[in-house]
Amino acid sequence: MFNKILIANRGEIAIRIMRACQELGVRSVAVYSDADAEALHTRFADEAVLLGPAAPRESYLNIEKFIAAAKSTGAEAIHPGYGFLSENAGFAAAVKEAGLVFIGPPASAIRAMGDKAESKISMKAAGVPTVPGAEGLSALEQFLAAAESIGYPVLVKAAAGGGGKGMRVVRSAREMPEALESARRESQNAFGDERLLVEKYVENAHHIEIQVFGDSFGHIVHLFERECSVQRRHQKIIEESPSPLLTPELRAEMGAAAVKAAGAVGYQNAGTVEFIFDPSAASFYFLEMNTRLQVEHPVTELVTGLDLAQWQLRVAAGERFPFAQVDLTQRGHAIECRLYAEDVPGGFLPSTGPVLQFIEPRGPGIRVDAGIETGSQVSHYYDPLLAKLIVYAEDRPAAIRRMLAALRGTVLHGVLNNVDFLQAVLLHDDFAAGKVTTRWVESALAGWTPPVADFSALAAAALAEMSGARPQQSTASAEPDAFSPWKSGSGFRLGETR
Amino acid sequence: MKLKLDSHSLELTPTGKSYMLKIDGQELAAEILRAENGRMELQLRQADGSARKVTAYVSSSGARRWVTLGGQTFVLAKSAGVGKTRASGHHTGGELVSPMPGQVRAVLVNPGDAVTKGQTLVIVEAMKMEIKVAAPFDGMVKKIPVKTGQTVEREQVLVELERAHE
Repeated sequence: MFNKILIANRGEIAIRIMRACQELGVRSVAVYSDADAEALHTRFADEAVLLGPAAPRESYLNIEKFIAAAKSTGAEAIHPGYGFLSENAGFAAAVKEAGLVFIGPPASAIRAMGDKAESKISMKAAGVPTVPGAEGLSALEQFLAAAESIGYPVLVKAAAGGGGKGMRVVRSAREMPEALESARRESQNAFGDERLLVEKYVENAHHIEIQVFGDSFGHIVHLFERECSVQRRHQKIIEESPSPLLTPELRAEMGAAAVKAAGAVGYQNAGTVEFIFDPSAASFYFLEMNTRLQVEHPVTELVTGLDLAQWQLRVAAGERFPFAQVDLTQRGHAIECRLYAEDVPGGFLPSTGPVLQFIEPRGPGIRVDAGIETGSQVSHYYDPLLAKLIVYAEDRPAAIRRMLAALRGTVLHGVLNNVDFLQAVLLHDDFAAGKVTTRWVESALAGWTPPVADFSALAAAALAEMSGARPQQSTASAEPDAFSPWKSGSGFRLGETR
Repeated sequence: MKLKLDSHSLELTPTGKSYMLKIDGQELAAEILRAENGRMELQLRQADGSARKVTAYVSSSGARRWVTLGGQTFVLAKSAGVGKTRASGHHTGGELVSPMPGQVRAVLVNPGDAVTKGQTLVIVEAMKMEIKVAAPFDGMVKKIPVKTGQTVEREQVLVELERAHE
């Protein structure tokens, strides 16, 4: 096992990996940008190294700086987390060339799967079912011709992409030019690559993915599915395992297809094969492979009992993965909710600000993977994911009830967020029935508005104002913040900016 | 003490160790049982003498008040005669404002340019997401108070537009 590793990421995933390090007796090195100097992940590690300015290009996307930081601290390996450089084959190769270990798949596997166009071609060849589409296009005319032959609506997406970045639904030829331009720019910014591909947009699709895991001895297994259909703006907000849709036969079939896909590119370490699932036909198509640990990996950890982050380190250090497919079981039900810094009624737009209060829920079967704490600053530079709530229970209805309790037990003030919205999703009949498709949120909950303050809430707000006010000010004018209870010397302090 | 939260008028009068609270004309007695670190335990007593205990989490930032109670969070605006709010991404008097805090990615027009309804004028990026701010009507660009790369706040004016004559 390694003595020390560097985690080339930030937020909750950096902390998740640091926890794995602590349990394995591995020392951890955090990295941070100027905007993250006081971030939680920098304090969770044994050491922390400044990368540079806030802009990702000069910090969390800078290969040379990561390698220099690893060298200077004596780290033997680098864990990329997810996002940023995690699926950049050049980074994996550079880490290896520097004499360090990349905790993830070989660069060749990242390259083969990282290019969405190339991977589709190789998956077709390997006999894995794929969505009808066209790759290797550049001119507008080519995209228009391809879309015409596939039939609208089509999806234009970044060849290097993932996570919904650089992706546009195009419903007519008229929408194509601007969609291409903005998808290109977003792709260039997010991945440093502007190639796009186009494919059939499957309406009413479910998103079901299979977790795979391989060691360096050619042993690859699947760790069952995650249903990730609750999405907004093509980004997942709720994931669960098992999927309410799969039969044991379909699960086995998709699992086998995922292992075949991973095997075709010589995959090692943790990876996820994403499928589009058409429930009307009970058919599935290969969408892409994410060659990294996923945001939603805890769901799989809870139903399989495996610690994926620890196994990532162990197989990267040369250990064998000791479980055969028949040894692995999926037990109970797990659900994850992503807490995002966003203004839900404002169209899920990002929100920033200081975290005035963050109180994590507690209780049996509740896990919180958080990247923030009370006093953290949420800036506009990075991902809006603040924390993840994950629950485990004996079956799906029990897991839904447990998640609702966890959400109700969460206090998150200072940054607009989706805690109340997630409750609305979980309480919806369609969710209970497992009928949620990837476009469901935009249609079923389009008119959602935040809860309206009742008498008690208003009373609490008023008393908070009052209790902190000095008596002589209690009749003061209505000048804003005249009472400033939050700055007064009284015993009661509300959550406030540090 | 009087205050306004969203559209509600509240009035608080200390009465010994508790308060008389009037919310939109309705009265109740309230007592703070415990208060620390943004958490309050309250006892609310109705006119008929019935009382109940509630636990609330309250935070403050500028004019914004956050209250979590019974598993729900309410964001309230404390107003003191200000209360002017613009709908995000919308236009008021020809001013186009940023719908979110972020960074100006691109300014696609210049002062003096004629623009058509729906045309993208400025692109704002936050958390790797792009938002296009488009012209709400045909018109002419009067002023662009922001530059590419500049950090902007939510509701900050990005473009001043003059509506085209009929």
